[in-house]
Amino acid sequence: MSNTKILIVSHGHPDLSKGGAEVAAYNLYSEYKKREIDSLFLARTDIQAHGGSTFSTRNDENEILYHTSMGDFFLFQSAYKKHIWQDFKLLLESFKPTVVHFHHYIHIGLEMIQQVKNSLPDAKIIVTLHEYLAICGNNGQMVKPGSQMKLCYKAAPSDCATCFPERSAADFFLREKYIKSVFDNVDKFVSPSDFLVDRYVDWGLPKEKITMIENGQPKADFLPPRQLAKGECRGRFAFFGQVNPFKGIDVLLQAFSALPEKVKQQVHLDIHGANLEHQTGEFKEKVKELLEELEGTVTMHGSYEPHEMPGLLAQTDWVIIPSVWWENSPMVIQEAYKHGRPLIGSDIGGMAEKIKGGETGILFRTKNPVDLASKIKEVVSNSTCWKKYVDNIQVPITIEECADIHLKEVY
Amino acid sequence: MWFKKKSIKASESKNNDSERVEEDHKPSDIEPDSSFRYWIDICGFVKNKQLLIRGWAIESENEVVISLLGEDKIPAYLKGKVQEDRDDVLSHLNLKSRNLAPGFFQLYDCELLSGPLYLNLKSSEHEITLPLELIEISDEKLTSTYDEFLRLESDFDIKLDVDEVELETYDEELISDIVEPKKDTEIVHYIERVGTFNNKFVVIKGWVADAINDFEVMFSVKLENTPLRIIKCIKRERFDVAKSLELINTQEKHGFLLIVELAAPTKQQLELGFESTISTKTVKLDISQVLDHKEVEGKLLDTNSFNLIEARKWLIENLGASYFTEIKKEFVNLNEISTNIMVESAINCGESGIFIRGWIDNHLDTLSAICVSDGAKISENLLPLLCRKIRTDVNEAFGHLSNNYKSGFYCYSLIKSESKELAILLFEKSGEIVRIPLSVININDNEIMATQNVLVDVEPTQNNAFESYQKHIMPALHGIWGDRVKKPNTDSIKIYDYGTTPEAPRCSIIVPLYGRYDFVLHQISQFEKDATLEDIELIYVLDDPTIEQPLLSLCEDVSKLYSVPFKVISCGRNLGFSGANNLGVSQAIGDKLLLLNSDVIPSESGWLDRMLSVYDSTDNIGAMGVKLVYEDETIQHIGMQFRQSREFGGIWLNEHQYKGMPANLVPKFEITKSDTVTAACLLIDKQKFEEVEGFETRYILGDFEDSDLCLKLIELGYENYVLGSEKLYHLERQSQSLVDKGDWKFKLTLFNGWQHTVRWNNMINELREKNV
Repeated sequence: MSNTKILIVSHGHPDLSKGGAEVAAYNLYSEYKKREIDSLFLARTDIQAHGGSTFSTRNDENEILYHTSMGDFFLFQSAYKKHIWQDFKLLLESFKPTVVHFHHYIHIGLEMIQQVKNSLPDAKIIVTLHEYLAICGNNGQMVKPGSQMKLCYKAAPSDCATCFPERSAADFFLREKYIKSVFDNVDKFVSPSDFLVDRYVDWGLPKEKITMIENGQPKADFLPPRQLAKGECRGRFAFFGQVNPFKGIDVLLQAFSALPEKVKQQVHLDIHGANLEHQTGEFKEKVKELLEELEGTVTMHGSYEPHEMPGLLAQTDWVIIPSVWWENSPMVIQEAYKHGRPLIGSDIGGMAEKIKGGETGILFRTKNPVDLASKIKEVVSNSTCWKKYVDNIQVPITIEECADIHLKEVY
Repeated sequence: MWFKKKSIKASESKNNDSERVEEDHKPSDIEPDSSFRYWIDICGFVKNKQLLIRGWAIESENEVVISLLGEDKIPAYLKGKVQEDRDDVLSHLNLKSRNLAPGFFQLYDCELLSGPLYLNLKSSEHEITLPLELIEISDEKLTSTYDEFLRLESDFDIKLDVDEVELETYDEELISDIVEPKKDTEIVHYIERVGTFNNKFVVIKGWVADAINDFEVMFSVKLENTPLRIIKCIKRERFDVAKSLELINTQEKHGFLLIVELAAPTKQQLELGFESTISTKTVKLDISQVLDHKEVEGKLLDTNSFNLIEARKWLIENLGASYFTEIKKEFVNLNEISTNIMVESAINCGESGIFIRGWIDNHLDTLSAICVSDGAKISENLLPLLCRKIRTDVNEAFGHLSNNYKSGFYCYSLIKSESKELAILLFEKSGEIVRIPLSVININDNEIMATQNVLVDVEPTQNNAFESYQKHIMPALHGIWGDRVKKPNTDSIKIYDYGTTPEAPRCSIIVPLYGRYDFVLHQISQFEKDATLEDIELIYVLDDPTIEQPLLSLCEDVSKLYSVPFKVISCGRNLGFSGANNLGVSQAIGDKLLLLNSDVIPSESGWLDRMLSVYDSTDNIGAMGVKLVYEDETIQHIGMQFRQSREFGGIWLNEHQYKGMPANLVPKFEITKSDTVTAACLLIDKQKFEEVEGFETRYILGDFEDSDLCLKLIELGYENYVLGSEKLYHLERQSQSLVDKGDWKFKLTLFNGWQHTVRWNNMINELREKNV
């Protein structure tokens, strides 16, 4: 492996953009670096660079920032294609990686993959899929647009055209053909969940080209259970993540609101996450109303830094992930399990896959606050289950293990 | 002119002036008793074998007619002549009191003559023939004489604009042979009225007769020796004159009305010349009298060749603005006549026509004519040409109109000059004229809007639809689109090369682009993975200048990311489907052409290879179409058929059979004959495409060009096929022009269909019989 050179391409740098995919990409890169494999981390940013240059560095000379953006979100086309066929080309020809591993193409452009094929026909091209962007035009969520947020089970040009009336079925047909033509150049796809694998195979990716590898996590120790006061039950719940409709904040708040008074007095919900201010009027109003109503029971803490997570987890019993969309492999779940906290989550997609209802956590009917409320009532009245779940937790794979699998099986 | 009196009897006396041409007299030709006196001033050949001869001749005190003869006395063809007064000769011969014009100045065509030339002199009683010898004369002199001849000739030989009511003109020469002219013939005349109108025209009314022989009298008008143009000469019978002069036996019309054009106002006298075959007369006229238009109209009416409307129309036509400004004062308002009209729109259709639309209420039938005029020129009467339809809104608004009254109208009109101020003139039978100004819209590159305007009142289901297409819609639309679809000249063509096109490509793919250009990315990303497309030329024709910049920008990027070479060709304007394809083909170097729509995407690599191989192994093949499907795999095209539309007068329409059906329900075949196929994906030998001269550009905005092309191929003896074993995706209605869909497009399709039917009806019927 001594002549292996790995280029990891991410749509953001975790220092500047705190998303699961960015962190996962960076973790892999850091691990390779630790093993002294010649690697570069190329991260896109929308910040302007010195002298208008396409590249700059951050932290050290191997972490390169790529100053660019996308122009056409429908076909994932770069707005500055010259960045690709001139600057990125030069980078490829200078570094000559043997493996180019994309963790995203959004904000960067699918042309990047085409360019690698053009410049380094022998290099291996790997793409880790973190969401369903290629399949679904609605932000890759596979949720139909509209306030109802109906789940979508399969993409088809005529259905997609119904979701987006300004586009025709033929537009979606062309989109699919184009994306697949780019994907033809990819040697292997990686997915952090089986659920996502199934979706892509359903869509048309050859089964043998895609493999499931969980996102590796840095090693961490189980946190001790929270100290309970006399007579207190295990009733502290925490939510981590963006405060937006997809994450199901409103479902969560409605559930708490539906709790009988007696139970309400025994529980508390901490919401860690920002962006309430950026939501649209109706949703924002609804949330604000509920928060007011639940004053005393629910506390909004605002945003948090990743390294604060352990501390925040220590102060809670349960982590709730009430997302109304499929999710893939939410970092929250991995964090919780890493630190020994069980989860209550929606019963669809990645959540249903990762949380083993009845073993390591509880699943409730998606979008159903009444069901969630009853589940909360249950755990409050029967605290013994908490310990059972914690004992069953399987720690997510470490970054080292993840890197190993990549190096051995994928590259 | 110097001359010398010369008598045949006298011995020849040489003139001192050496430039003179002299006669050589042979004694045998001289008639001793004749008293011909003559002199040749100038005689020489101008141009090719044309003889110019000038001189004078007289016999005693009689007129002499000159002619030129060749060998065997074959007469030469007289091309032109001028009779000259030669007062100098007359005074010298003391013949001034006579009305003689002994001077002759003539041009003969001698091409068919050979041998020596002879001059024939003939009077009423005697005739002699003399040899003619030429002596050199300077070119200069000859040329200047010839010029003078031309000038004088045009005076003398005015072609008069004579009405049908007049006699036919006759060949003067014949008459002079047939009739023996009497002595002392005389022209008698009387001027009843002479005056000027607007200082631009002179009107002369009177009568004239050749008192003795009653030959036809011709007219000429001069002012200070400069000839004037007679723009109208009308003759009518004057029995009173004929009777009093005892001229009843001829058909001659003695009354005349002359309208003469004045170059500029003048105080001089006019010279009116009368000429019958053998006599002339000149009269000096004082033209200071001013006539008003009523008088002029009246004079025209008197001739019995016009009614009031016709007279006024003729006067507008010929006198133009000057007459117009006069009678303008007499125009009445629209509300003063019983006809009512509203022009709702008027559009300029190219170089020489306008299209007007509106409604008219002429239920009392008082209207005689409707014309379009710019104040100087006037159109023909449009009233019988208007295409009429029922306008329920108008019929309801005016209670006196029955439900069936056709008040709506539209019409194409050729106007004779392009002008800013056009107006409609209504001529009532009673003589009243109403002038309604028109505000004519220019197209300004908005051909679509103009087309919608033209089509809005068209009723394709009515019986008169075809007539309306022929008379109005076709000239209007072709006028509107004329410039747009014209073949571009080579210096306006720009070619952008991306990558290196193979030197000897097997096939050239031609793709027109309009509106959406992202198809370039989609097509090229699919072509990229097809190794069989390596020796193919790919040409995109930009048919939409508004997308040039973003297209070229996209092409730049695409060419850097993909290895498929291609060209973009543009001529800077939108040519339409036919023009764009023709342009692309004109630049293509492959032997075969694959015409491809931008919204067609291949399904499997190697498709073109397979198409070419089938094409090459099929005898006598013209065009080859292919199976096209929508994105959901249902059929979009698998050959076209003709269907005749009863509803729309029997127009032939192209149908795509099986459209929208799942492919497995459609009969399977590898290749089958199909008279017509779509040009969305069409393979053809370049030579055959050129043989039929490419796509026809008369189909406005597209439709029927592919059918037309296929039928042209059949006409030349080829056969067309559709390939069922290949499939491409045709994402129809993706690249159509971004224009409102409304029924004007449907009407346009029907109009195009009519054009197509007119051209191909017979052939289509033949083919259907054959196929049954």
